[in-house]
Amino acid sequence: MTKLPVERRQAYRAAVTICERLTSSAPVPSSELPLALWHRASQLIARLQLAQSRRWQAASQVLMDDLFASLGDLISALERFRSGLPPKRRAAALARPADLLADLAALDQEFTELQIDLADNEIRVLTEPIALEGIQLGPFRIVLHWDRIGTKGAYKVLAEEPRCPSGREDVTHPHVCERRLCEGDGAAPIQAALASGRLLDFFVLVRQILETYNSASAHVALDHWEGTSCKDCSIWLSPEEGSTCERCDDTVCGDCTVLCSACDRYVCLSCTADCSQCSDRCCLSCLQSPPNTEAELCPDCLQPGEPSIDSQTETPAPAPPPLPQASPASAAADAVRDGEATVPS
Amino acid sequence: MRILYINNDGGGFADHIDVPEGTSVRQLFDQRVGAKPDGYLIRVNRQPASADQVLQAADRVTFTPVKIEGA
Repeated sequence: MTKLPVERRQAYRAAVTICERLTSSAPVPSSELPLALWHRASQLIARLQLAQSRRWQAASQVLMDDLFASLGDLISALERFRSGLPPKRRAAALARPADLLADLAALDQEFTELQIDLADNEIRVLTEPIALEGIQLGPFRIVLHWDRIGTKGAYKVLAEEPRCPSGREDVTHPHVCERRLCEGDGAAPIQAALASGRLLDFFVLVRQILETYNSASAHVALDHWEGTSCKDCSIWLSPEEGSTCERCDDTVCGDCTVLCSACDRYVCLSCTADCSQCSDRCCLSCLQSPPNTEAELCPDCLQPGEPSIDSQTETPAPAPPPLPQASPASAAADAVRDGEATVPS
Repeated sequence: MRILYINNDGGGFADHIDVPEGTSVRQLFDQRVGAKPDGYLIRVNRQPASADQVLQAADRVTFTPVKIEGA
């Protein structure tokens, strides 16, 4: 007997398993029958029968009115329950193992990579790199958990080479957040495809959503994908705009960039303040406060010789070594240099 | 003749339909969709198909929009 290739055997086993899953999973109602309303109506009927048996006409009329209202509530509740049930699935609409096998073979051709994981009940495909309006988003891996078909979270979308917008590591695509695709117009056909076991249609639908940009409804708009906002005024800056503060390394716009008059560094507004005396804008590091004052002065305004707060707080500098004793000859020479000696005529 | 017709546009449709013998892919598309074909992925038996391809009994025809807007 000719053995099937490993991949084909894997695909066959997956097809059979998925088919069993589709045919055996019955829709489970998400809400309960309105038993309290049923009980209420039952009570009213019992009381009405009692009133009628004792010929209590007035009581019978009141109970009849109550019963009409109660039955109306019960019927409404039952209609709501029925409308909440999953749609009926015809057995003929479900994919057979041969259909699933054909879908898996087609997926192998349609996508860059197909993986079938029997241990984790997953089918994984890899798309081509996706670019939307010139923004490269890289390829995406679509992972279907076939044992979760019919539930939320049956599949996830993973960025193979994440290129997230600044500050939003949870968004890998304008319509993917935390690995969940916001299906939008694709929600109904995706649900129908999964319910029927049309795997090829499902993966193709997800891929087409990934390849379409809906600017009206995106987690992060593409024109905010690359770049960042000014640290001080929050205006949006493209990658070519803005500059970097030389003190804190944050990105700021031109309007929020200041040249420190003391150290000539380009810094952001948050890293600067005005000199209390001359109002020149300086780095916070370049401003100093004289002792016993709250004023912040630039180096030019800080008086020379005036001890700065830093010098008072620092440990005293060691005393300079004593000068050597001067010889008489050198003393006389020193006197001439100092202008104190009378130069003989 | 009977074919399996799948339209992944809007709410989706997937069921067997009867079409006259000799119906082409383009004719079916014009009857059922009526939009421009270049906005759709058109597959017959899971393979790309030409517009003038004549459908056979038991063929599986799929129309999927190229652009599907997410939310």
